[in-house]
Amino acid sequence: MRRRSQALGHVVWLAAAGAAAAPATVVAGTVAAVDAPPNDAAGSPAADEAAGTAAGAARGWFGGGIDLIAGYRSTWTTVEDADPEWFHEFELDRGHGWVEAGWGPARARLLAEATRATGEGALVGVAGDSVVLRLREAWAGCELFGWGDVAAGIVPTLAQPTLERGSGTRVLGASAFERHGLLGPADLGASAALRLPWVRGRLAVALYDGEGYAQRELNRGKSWEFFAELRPLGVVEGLGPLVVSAAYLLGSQGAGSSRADRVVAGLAWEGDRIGGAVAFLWLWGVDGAGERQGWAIEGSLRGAPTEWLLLAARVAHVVRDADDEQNRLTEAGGGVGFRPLEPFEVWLDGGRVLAGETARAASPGCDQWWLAARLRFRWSGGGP
Amino acid sequence: MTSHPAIARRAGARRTSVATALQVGGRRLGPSPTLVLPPLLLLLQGCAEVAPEARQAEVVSVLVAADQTLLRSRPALVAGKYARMARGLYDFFRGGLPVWAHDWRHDAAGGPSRFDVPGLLVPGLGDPHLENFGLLLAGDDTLALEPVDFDAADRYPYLWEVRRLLTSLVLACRLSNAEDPAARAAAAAAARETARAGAAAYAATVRALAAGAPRERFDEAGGRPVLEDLFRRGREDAASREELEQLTVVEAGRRRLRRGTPDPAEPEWVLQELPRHARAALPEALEAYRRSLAAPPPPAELALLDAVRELGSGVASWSRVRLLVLVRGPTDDPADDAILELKELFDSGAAGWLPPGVWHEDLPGRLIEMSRAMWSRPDADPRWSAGSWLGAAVQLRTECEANKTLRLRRLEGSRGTPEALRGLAEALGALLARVHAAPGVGGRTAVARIAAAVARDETGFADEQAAAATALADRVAADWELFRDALRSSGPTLGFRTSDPPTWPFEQRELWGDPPAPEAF
Repeated sequence: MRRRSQALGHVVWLAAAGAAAAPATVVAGTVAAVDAPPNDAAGSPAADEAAGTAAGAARGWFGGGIDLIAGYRSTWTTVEDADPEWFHEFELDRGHGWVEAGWGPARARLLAEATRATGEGALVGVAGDSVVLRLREAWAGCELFGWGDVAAGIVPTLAQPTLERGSGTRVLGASAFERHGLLGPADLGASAALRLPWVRGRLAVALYDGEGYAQRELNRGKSWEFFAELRPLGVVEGLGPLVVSAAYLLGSQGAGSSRADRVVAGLAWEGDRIGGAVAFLWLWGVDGAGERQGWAIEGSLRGAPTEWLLLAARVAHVVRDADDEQNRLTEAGGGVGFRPLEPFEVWLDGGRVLAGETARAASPGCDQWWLAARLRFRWSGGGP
Repeated sequence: MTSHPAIARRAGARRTSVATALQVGGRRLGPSPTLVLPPLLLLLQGCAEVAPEARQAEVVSVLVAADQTLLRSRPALVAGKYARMARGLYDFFRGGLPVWAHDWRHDAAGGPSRFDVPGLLVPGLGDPHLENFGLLLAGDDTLALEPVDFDAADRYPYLWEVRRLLTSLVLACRLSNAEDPAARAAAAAAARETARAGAAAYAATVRALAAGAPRERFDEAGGRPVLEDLFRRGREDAASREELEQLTVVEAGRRRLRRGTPDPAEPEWVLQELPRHARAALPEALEAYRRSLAAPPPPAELALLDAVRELGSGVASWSRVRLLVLVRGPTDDPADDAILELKELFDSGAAGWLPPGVWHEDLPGRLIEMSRAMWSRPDADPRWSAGSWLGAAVQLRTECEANKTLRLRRLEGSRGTPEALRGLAEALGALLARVHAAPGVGGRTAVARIAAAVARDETGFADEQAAAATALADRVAADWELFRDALRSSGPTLGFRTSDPPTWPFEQRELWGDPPAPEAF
């Protein structure tokens, strides 16, 4: 096991809170090897037994952190004589900062993220099209006698953050599920989790507005998310990192209350030096079209052959209309990272997006190659 | 709590499986499902309320999402727009551009084409339909047929443009000859052929432009009845300055704009007093606008004489702030006073697509650059420009009766025959091709690539586009019925309610105006 900084001690707690299962050291090792756990941590602020003990030991505590991924990205369309054929820009792929506090069983968290003020193609935003800060999480919660916890506010959703943590490849960009608007990372609502110590897992349920954290509520319908995360072999030595998760979302979207239901299942190996995950998603209701069905699958691999060398690869296939096989995108990418000095990581990655005929016609330029150089800074401190 | 068949079906399926699970092996493992599940399912159903008609929900969601900021600030104006869209199919098509854009993301408006040019965006109107073309009186007092609405102008896939124009022509055929059912039936029967003629003219013009033909100015009707009528009326009104008669009065030797309802036949078209603070900001905006013109007139020529808030004009832009501004003109003689229309500008709605995703520095820049590029000459309307007023981006243009817009209601009699409509389609198809030949990024034009794609099978191109336009027109008609039904059942703002009581400043509400109650539909 490699050396860990004191800051990562907090990562231990947060990762454990998200995983709600494996021994804290294992989980922390996993996420610290390639990816940042704090804001990728699973849905409710559930903590495992170890975290509960730690929180109880420190009656009042305060913590915070930063996760920043800045980069330079070049893209080339695969179309000859496209206009433009290539483009390059500096970008801020992630800019998260958070503070959190607890007192006894009570805890709260604020997480701000950087984002563009406008949507794609728009000129009118905040002060032009500035990069602005908005809240991605703002919740208060309470641990319930060591059996689970509840939280309310802008809460992380249950499935998407868990899948992202399992994938451990956030540095390559947000997951395809999130980028294509199929699953959201947070919403306004409340969540409750019940720990299952005998299988090192948890059951959780959440009720949201359903429009995501970047939109006001637009209809009377509320969205349910039922979620289970298990480490079925957690008690077997060496097999603890195996995580199975599943969720069902029963939701509505938009002012017209379009159906937006999802079933998602994930399998992840959250190992210390090697990890991987595969997740499958089926959608009833895509992009506000309630009758349309779609599906997506994403797989990832990551590894840390040495203390300073990191590897990651990811493949995703998104079918936006199950009745139109050409309405699809296939994405494959991979990168190599270096950790010259914690908390810095430097990455070089590249990949390709292949679009079906319909997707290519509807979104000119989506069929492309990319090459990126990224710098990641992760730090967290304080904590229980 | 509400329920509907779809959710009930899903709930029923769940009930069966859970009940079975609880009684595996003939042993009851817990409380009776009949006691536990109904309240649970009721709770789930009530919370996850989903609309029973999926397409209706989709249309409502898309329109409300597109209008959300306006619905929060000026719901009465959006309600007026929705009422107008509900009264007529063509008006629904005009106001339904967000639905078109939404559908494009799904199936590229009618499905992928053999003639697609992947990765190509052309300078386009975004909303190129029949009523967004019309006459403009140029700097040398000559009239020409030009695009006259740049609210959505940006860079688009060329088939987006072609199919939207042809869909509008199919609808126009079906809705022409309002008072003559037999003539309407004949035009409707020829709708697909009309669209085909428009597509063929587009293809032929693109081919010619790619071969080096000049971008022609459409300053003659070319023997087409609809355009003959348009040019004739335009020339008559250019001479008579009809707009001064209709919109102004002269009192004590000074001209002022009318207030009230200029046309009793259009009770929703209202001219209201402009708030003092809004009027006070106009001279500065006019001076900035004057400097933005290609050939700025002397400042005195744009001296402010009067201004009114105009309500009930347009369809897609119904809820935007719009003014009529009376300016001095070349001399103090009231006979040469001029009227400008000032209208709020918003984003185009283009989805960005290729990087960098935006192609202009700001909204006025988008309008000025796109209009100059698409017109046959930069001074197609020498007073058409953009700037800002009260912090908002605005467009200013000449308001004159000579600048006649093509109107669906004029397609009747000799102007509503299949031949006349085909002639109109050919002219607009050719004009759209000319628009697409405007210089794009780096001053390059895209017509050569379009021409190469179309040349593979020019007949097939026309057939495919006509078929797509016919199917799309059917979809628009079906959506219109769903939209009307939603408006009836959900209320004038499609069920959208602000969560907070509006707290907008009085000055702001005063500027948005007080529209008359929408007419029934």
